[in-house]
Amino acid sequence: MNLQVAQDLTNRKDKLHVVQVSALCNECPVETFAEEIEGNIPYVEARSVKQLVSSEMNILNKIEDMMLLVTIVALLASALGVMTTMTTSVIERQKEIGLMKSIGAEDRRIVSLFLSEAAIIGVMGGVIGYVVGVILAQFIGLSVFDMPIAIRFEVIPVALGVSLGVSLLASAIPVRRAMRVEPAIVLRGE
Amino acid sequence: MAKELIKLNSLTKLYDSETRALNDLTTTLNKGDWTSIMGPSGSGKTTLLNIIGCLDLPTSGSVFINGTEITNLNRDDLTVFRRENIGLIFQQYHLVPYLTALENVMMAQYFHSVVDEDEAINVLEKVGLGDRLDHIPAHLSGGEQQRVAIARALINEPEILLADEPTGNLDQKNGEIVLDLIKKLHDEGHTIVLVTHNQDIGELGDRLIKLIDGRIHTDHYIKEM
Repeated sequence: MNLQVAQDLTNRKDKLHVVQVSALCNECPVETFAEEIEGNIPYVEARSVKQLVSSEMNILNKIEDMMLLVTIVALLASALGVMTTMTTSVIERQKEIGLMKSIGAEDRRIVSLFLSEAAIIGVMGGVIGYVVGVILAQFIGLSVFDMPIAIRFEVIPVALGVSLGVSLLASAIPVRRAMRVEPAIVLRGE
Repeated sequence: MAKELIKLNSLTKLYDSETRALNDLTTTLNKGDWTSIMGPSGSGKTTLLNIIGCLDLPTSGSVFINGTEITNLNRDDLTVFRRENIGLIFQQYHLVPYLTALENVMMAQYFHSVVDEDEAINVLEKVGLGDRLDHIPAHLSGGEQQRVAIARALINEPEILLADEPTGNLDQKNGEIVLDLIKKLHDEGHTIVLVTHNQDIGELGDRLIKLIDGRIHTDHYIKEM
């Protein structure tokens, strides 16, 4: 909005409260200009545009750090979820694992079976996470910043890779447990 | 002269310092024989079967099967040796509940080499379950489930069949069907080692070994009785 229109609308002719100072040169003492303006015009806050941008950037950086922290916590929580799911699966299927070993499945076959299941969980989690993330980001973008978020398709392989990696890593302990199943013990007749 | 297939030398199995499941047991089982193993609970029957079946290893002593000393094999080699040479039949059947009869049999093929549906159907027909291929275990009787388990044990054509109380969970009629099937497999040349509590079943075989406290108490060929 034009300054004069704003003054007319608020009925404050020739009044100013904030002045943002910028100069069309790199070496100009913009901070000094701002101090001089504050000294000469009473009740005015003068700030250089550079200073304003820098403080906004600080806020954005802090938001970014917070989002990274949230992401790490979310990844740890999902790793814990995958580990719990896989451990439950191994415990519930001990007899099945024992049976597979008794009819000829080596440890590597058991490992590949459970890692395949973990990979499916990881990929599905990555796809669902990406879709839900995009929807939530659009919602937050429109409701908080009043602008849509640009969808970046190059993020898809990264999201899938990270969720797959987390899922496989989280399965290490349950898979180790599956390898230790002794068929002679779990198949013992009751 | 009968060929020695399984040779057990001074087998001892300790589960802890107080539990001695097998105690310096030595014997030889011949190719093509049906050997029944009997004895009271805790006499070491199942432990002996597990060791012959490469599911467990003795604390001391050695086991030779077809000339291979299995007590020197690592876990994966034991698994490979088992799937090539031994078929296992359990009292509890141990079928995968969400797979059909056909798929349960094909699972053994999958872990052995390649899946061949026609061959799996043939084996199921051989055990009299040609019309039950697509049934899951919950829709089969106990006898039928045990026959699926026998088909699974047979699918990779093992030389040795080990059966741990195969009729223990069956009524008399189904028990007889399963025993007839085992007799038929014995007549075809399979070497059978069968653990049982039932004297009548034990005497169906060629040889009867009775264990007490992990030692051989009596050992004789049935025809010599």
